[in-house]
Amino acid sequence: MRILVCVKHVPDTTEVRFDPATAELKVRQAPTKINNYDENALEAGVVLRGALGAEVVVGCVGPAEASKTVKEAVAMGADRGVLVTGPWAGELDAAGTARVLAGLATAEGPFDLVLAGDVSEDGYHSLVPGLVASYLSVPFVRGVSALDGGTGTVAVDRAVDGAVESYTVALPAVLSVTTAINTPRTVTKLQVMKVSMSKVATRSAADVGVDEASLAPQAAATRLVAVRPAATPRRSEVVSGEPDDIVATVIARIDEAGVLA
Amino acid sequence: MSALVVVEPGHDAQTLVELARPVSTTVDVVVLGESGEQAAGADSTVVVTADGCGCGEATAALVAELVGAKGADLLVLASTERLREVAALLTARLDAACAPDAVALGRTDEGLTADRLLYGGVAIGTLALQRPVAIVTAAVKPSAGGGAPAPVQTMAAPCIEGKTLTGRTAVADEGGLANADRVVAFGRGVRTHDDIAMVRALADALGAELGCSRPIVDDLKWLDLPHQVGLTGTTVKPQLYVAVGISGQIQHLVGMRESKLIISINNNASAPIFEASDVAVVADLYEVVPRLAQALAARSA
Ligand SMILES: Cc1cc2nc3c(=O)[nH]c(=O)nc-3n(C[C@H](O)[C@H](O)[C@H](O)COP(=O)(O)OP(=O)(O)OC[C@H]3O[C@@H](n4cnc5c(N)ncnc54)[C@H](O)[C@@H]3O)c2cc1C
Repeated sequence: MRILVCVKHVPDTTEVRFDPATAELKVRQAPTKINNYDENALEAGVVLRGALGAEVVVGCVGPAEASKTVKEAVAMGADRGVLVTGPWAGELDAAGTARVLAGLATAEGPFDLVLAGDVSEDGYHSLVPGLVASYLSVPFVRGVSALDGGTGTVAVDRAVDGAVESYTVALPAVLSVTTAINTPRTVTKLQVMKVSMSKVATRSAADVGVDEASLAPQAAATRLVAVRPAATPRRSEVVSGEPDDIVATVIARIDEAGVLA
Repeated sequence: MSALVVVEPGHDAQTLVELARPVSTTVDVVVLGESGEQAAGADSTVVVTADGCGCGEATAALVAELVGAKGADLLVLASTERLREVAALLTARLDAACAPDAVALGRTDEGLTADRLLYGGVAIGTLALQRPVAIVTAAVKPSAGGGAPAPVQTMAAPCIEGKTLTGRTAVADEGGLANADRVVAFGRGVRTHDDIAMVRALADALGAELGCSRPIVDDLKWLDLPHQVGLTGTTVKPQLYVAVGISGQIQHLVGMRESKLIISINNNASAPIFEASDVAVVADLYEVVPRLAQALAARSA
């Protein structure tokens, strides 16, 4: 069995700030990391390999520095990793990313199973896994919270609004997982450092059969054209001092706002 | 533009109709399921009952057929787990431009645009949707009921080969949170599992639902996901939101910052939660929460 786990190299969104002075997002200054939902996908792949015997390959589409994320994923237990990168890699939309990943899956494949996290922490589109499945013309299940491997099929549970659905899915297939599926193993910096770069291959768009020109922002399905702050801070009244005074003030504010009715 | 709004039974389609209206000449609503109500403000509403298993691929095929039949160039889907899956499949199928969780649509020199949150809610981005068909998903409210029933139409929805639904178990709806009038939520500032009782007493005194931050669910496993407020939990919009020992990272704020009155209790005067609060109580929660609960309870007794 061969398993492809898609991982995204993302900025730590808790460190991304909007600078009102320049009306710009300070993204490049933020530290980068592996998307945490993809860690769950990787763990699921590694667990499945333990049960069924498989090769687990990490696939990543991103800037050159994303090799660090691929290395980390290999340290977490993947057999090897492939990074598809190029000058276009910084500004891809979901459809562009998915086309490159589907190209990678074909060029390095065939794969029986493609796993990914449900969403990326930065974009939060939750589109790429479903797009990859569509481009590969294979079944897709989103929101997988339990996964059992068999021969030629997998059994999955997924939570949808108000229900848990169970499916059997014939392979090849694409699944995206939630953080409920497992607890990913942690690796030390030393373990990541020890990963030999020979396990991380780098490819261009052309290598995986995608025309670079089609990845330009103008050709993309969606393009970011403006950014503004999400909310202006509230003017807050600071209340401190003796607990009993605090309680009196808080109750007064609740009553004034009429929010208990 | 001609817009097609797709919801599930029990949804109030009105907010989605209103989202589409400024950029559309016609707005038609489809309810996927057994029954549904006429949507306020829509040009038409029809209930479409599919004869298949209802898997994502089958639903995508069915919606694609409806888009073709109506000549729709804007598709607005309720942002539910099920329809988010369908949105991804349709984006590929229709070679569409997709903006999930859109908060506004507009028309500029760039053509059709959609606004959505970026990087967990730090900013709002405007996306140009550069394809002939646009797909957006957006938050939908539950219907209050009582609307006139919409006509029902049955359609074939062939399932994809290789994927078989083997079971569907309803899970108890624990989430009174999304529509609660009052919410008391706590975070890591609460030190032990036993101390939840103290926070719950405050919630009870206010007639509020109990919520929490993500570490309470993910790391400590004290409460289940339906209690989590924020990006990966529930978005709440109560009259009163009380944040107890929550730092206020952006992923939490996006889930509660639309609340009417926000009161936060935190012993760190520079906690980011205070920037989103009307009342910033800088104090030890262990000093304030029991006294506040007691005073409120005594008052209503
Ligand atoms: C992709 C992604 C999605 C996320 N989704 C969510 C989400 O949906 N919801 C969510 O909540 N988070 C989410 N997070 C996590 C978020 O970034 C924060 O880590 C989290 O909200 C912090 O939880 P907390 O405030 O309980 O803990 P902390 O940040 O540890 O804050 C604890 C607070 O308690 C205060 N405190 C401590 N002791 C006392 C005391 N005695 N009295 C008063 N105050 C005290 C401290 O000053 C501190 O401000 C997400 C993160 C990522 C990356």
